[in-house]
Amino acid sequence: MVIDDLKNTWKAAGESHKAQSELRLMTALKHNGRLKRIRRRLLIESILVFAFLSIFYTGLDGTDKPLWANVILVISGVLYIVNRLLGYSATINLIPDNDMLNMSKGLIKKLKKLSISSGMSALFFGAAVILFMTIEIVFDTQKYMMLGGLITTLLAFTFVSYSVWKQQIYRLQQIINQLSEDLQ
Amino acid sequence: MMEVFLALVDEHQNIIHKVSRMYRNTVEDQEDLFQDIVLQLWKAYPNFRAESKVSTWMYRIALNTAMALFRKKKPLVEFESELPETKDINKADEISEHEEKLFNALHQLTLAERAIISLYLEEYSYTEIADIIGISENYVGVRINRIKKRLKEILT
Repeated sequence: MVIDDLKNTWKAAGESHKAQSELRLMTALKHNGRLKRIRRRLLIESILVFAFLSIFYTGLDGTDKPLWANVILVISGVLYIVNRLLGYSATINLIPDNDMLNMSKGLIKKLKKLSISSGMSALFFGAAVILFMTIEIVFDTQKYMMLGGLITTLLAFTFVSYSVWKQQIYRLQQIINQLSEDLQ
Repeated sequence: MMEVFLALVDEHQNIIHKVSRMYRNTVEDQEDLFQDIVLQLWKAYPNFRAESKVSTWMYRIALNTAMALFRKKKPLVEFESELPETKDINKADEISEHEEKLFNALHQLTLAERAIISLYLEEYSYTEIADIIGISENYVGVRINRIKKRLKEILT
C-alpha cells in the first residue's frame, strides 16, 4: 500500500456508529466499565477493612491489648481506605487537556506520588494488623515462623502493588523517551 | 450543553473508534477505551474554547486517554466465522482487509509513533501535529519520514 492508500484506508476506518443515547450514558461515571470495576474492588476492600475493624475489639481480644495498639489499628485502617478513595478520585481526573509530552510528564509525577502514598498506607495497615495480633504474645519458634510468614506475605503484596504502579510509570516514561530520543 | 456536546461527539466519533482500535487489541478493551475517551471529553468540554478545531481537540484528548490509561497487553485471538473458500470477497471485504492490514501494521509501531502517524494520515499539518504531541515541527517531519519507512517495511 502506498501512503495515499494508507490515508484513504485510515479516513474510511472507524465507521461503526454509536447512538447518541449510548454516548450520553458514557458521560456518566456510574456507567463507565473500568471505573465500575475499580469501584467494586474498592467497595469489597472497604467492607472487609471495616468488618475487620468492627470485630477486632471483641473478636480478637482488643480489650486485652494496649489502647495505643487499638488506636493505631483503627487509624491505619481508615487511612488505607481514605487513600484508596483518593486514588479513585485521581483516576477520574487523570487526563489534562495538554499536549502529549507534557501530559505524560505531569502524569508521571502524579503517579509517583500516588504509588508512594498507596504503598505506605497498605504497609502501615499491614504492619498495624501484625503488631496488633502479636503484641503481648510470648513467642516460641513456631510463632516466630508464623510472624515471618505474615511479614513475608505483607512485603510480597506491597511488592506486587508497587510493580503495577512501576509498570504504568515505566510505560509513560517510554512514551517520553520515544518523543524526545533525538532531542537529548 | 449536553446536547451540543453529544452532537459534536456523534459527528466525530470515528476518531474515537480509530484511536481505540489503534491502542487496544481486543474488542472488550476497545469498548472500555471508547467509554473512557467519551468520559474524558465530557469532563474537558467546559474548558473547550473552540480556539482549535473540534477534531483536533478530540484527537488530543483521545490520544492522551489512550496513553494515560494503563492496560496489560492481552494476546489477540480471532476466529474466522467462515471457511476461507466459502468467503464471498466483495468490495466491503476488500476495504476491511485493507483496514485490518493497516491496524496490524500500526500495532507494530511504538505508542508515540502510532499517535504521530495517525495525525499524519488524517492530514493534519506539521504545526497541528507538533501542537498535539508537544514536539517541534522539524522533529515531526523527521519522525514522520522514519515512521513511513518503517510502515513500508512492515507492509511489504
